[in-house]
Amino acid sequence: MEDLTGLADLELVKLVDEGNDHAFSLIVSRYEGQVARTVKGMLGDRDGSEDVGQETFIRFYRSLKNYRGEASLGTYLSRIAINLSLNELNKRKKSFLFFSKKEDDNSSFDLAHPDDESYRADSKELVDKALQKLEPEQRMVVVLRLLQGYSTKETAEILDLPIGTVLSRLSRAQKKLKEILTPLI
Amino acid sequence: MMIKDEINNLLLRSFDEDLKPEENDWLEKELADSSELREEKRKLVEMRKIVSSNQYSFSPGFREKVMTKVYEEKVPLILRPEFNRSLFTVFKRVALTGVAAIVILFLSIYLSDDSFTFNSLTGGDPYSDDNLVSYLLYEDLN
Repeated sequence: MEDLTGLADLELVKLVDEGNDHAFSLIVSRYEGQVARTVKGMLGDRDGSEDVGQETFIRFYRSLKNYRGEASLGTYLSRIAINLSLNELNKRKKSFLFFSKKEDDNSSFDLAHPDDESYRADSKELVDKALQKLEPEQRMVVVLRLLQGYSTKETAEILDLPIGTVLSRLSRAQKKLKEILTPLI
Repeated sequence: MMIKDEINNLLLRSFDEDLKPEENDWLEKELADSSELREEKRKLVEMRKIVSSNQYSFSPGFREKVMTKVYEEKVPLILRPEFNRSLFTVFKRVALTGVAAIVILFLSIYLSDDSFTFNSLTGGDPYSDDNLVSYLLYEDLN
């Protein structure tokens, strides 16, 4: 099998378009982590988020011909991942209304001592819960800005929002996150 | 109180946008003067660090699962081996149910008529046209 690891994203996309599956496999390897951060940041680290991650790549595969390289591949995939995550959240909201399952509250969250082995897992869980407490509109801004490290301008472009909206959502989200994550800071 | 809110908002904004020079000067001055604001800044920096360093990954084998789906995208549904397998399974079930129904039908006919003649299976009249004529003639004779 030929070594394609040194090729740029656009070259890989071209190869995929010509029917090279190995090139697509490399794209998945390159962006798996980024898509995981977006999807799991949006949906939480639980069942269903992995399916949305897979669907993100499949949607990209189907729309390969529409990708012209105007946005970076990471940005393009982030946009798909955010949209699919929002669809999944809507589905969950409907089933939540139907089954009326009560969400866990973090007010009584027991955080292990920083020296304990379980501290890392506990703090991860608390961050996950804190993100899930945000409104989806605030969460997607936090995911792109803080988890993915996009600039506010890039975040605004990905979400197709005015930069002022991104900044105000970020501001509100940070206030809430600081409050929830107090045990960690 | 209003000034405090304003400076807190300025502090929040300072992480994500370039402040105007006068806003920046004001924030710097307030930070130098207020230990409370410095503590607020420390907490925000720490919170952002904690959130951004949270690790997320998919389970091992994620790439293989995606590639399997890609393969499924390329091959038409009726040509996929799993489609033929599931089709066979469905038809096997239908066929077995059908055979069971026929066996039960035969059995019930046998039990009710004590025979397996063609007429008992089809539910046809045992009297043919010829027999009917002889029957009627026989009726007349009596």
